[in-house]
Amino acid sequence: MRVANNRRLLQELALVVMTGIFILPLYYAVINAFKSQTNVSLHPFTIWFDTVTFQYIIDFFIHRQYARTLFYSGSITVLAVALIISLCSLGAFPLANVRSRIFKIYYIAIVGAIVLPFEIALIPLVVMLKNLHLSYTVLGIALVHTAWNAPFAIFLYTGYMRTIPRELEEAARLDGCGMLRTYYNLYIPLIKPITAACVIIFATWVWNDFLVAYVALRNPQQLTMQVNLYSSLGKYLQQYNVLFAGMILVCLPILILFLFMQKHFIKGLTAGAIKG
Amino acid sequence: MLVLFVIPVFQTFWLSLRDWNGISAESKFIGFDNFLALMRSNSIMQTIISTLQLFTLGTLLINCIALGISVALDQKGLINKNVYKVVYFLPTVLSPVVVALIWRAMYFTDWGVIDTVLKYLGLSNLSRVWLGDPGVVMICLTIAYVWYQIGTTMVIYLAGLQNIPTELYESAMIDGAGKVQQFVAITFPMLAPAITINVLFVIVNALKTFDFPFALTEGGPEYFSRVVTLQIYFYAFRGIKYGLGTALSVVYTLFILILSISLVRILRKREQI
Repeated sequence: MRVANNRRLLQELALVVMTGIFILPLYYAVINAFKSQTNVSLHPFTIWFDTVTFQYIIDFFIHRQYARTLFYSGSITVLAVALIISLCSLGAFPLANVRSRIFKIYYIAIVGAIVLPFEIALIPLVVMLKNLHLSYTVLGIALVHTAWNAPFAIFLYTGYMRTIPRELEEAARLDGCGMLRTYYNLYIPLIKPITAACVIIFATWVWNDFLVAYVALRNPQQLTMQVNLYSSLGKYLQQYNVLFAGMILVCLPILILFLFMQKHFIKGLTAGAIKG
Repeated sequence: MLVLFVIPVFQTFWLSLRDWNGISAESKFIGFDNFLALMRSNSIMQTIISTLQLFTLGTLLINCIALGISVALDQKGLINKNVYKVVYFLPTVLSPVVVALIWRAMYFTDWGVIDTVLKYLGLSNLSRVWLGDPGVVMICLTIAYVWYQIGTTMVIYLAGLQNIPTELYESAMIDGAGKVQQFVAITFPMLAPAITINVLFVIVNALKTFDFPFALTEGGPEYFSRVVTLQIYFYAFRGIKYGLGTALSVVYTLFILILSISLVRILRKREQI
């Protein structure tokens, strides 16, 4: 028994050490946001609580126009997620319920589209946005995000809707519900769990996106957070502690959302993956 | 979705056969010249090698490490299981730009984390300009990428492990099978569906990634870490070689489609045995 106990302890210890190494980059980034640059380069891993300063957080907040970028990133994310949720749940509805050849081919095409990288359509897309006069607008970016996240969203929704018993839908039909009525009154309440998962997954992805905003939104008055952080790199290369502070600020909103909805995120991803 | 997804993809195919300067509405048909020019360009070999390095090394490392961690986490009686889970999953939620900037700092010469650790260990002579050395830049990039992406893979393995009935292990234990034997005989075959999806996910994600390598190295030094997605961007926005960019896009699309279809076939077949 004692041998077994020791072994367990050793395993636990190994896990703690592994996790420690794994978390090192995060620890490093967080503590160094509160230190002066000389200390960052001389003592990267130590922290003295008496010298902790919020000066650099404030610096980044003011000099890099945090509030403004928060507004742009926020509105793009909210708009894109709203579009993804409303359009894709509706789009997945016939795919999950109607058995016909066309829908089957359509579903396969959508699942296939998940693997395509955004970059392959980059060139025509930028030109198209310009022609539609959308290239410097929140709406344009949100639309691009919607289109390119839609395949995965439809995939998740269809997978989930297929687990809903068909009897429910038949009963609704017998009671005289049309397609749309069934969707609104029956399905929307039933698909709440997957909607929660989609909200957090796509909010994170849209929030974290860099490329779309980088190529389509070049107006310096309207940067998203990611682009803003990236363009701070050149200016603050010698003051990396300010950059660390910036990273914390950029991650904060989505991290808060994640910590609240962590379960849905993981469940959504794994459910989608296992059914696929 | 039709307008912003399907049409641009087909436009890419169409443009790849044409000579177009990006501004004028006119373009003339030049057949496969773009593809020939692509094959002749001198950096294309490096691009292909970098991409292959990222996705083979990345896939291998991510899957092995994630499998190891999830097996370790799946034991009964682990106190802080959920804490570990969140910790390993956390980097996945961060934005690629943030992760890239953190790793830039990790790899800094002299005061970066890697160099500091090497100094403590008395191995300073191993240190180098990590992201500026053509020989090691892709390896550095891949390690950072593994750190970044391991969470998703791990939670999928964990979910797979929880689906394995414990009776199987109990009967194996009665038959006198050791831990290693149990892993080979039960865990590995029962995980087949999770392995399929993870291999596919990781490969596709590695092939799609742009933000992260762009923010970490910008394709540098010179063009040694330009993976295909970066190369497309560089053709399009830095060199105004739209023809080459679209040609590369077409080749890449076909490559990804063929690769993922054949992967699904192979892995599904393995599942059924």
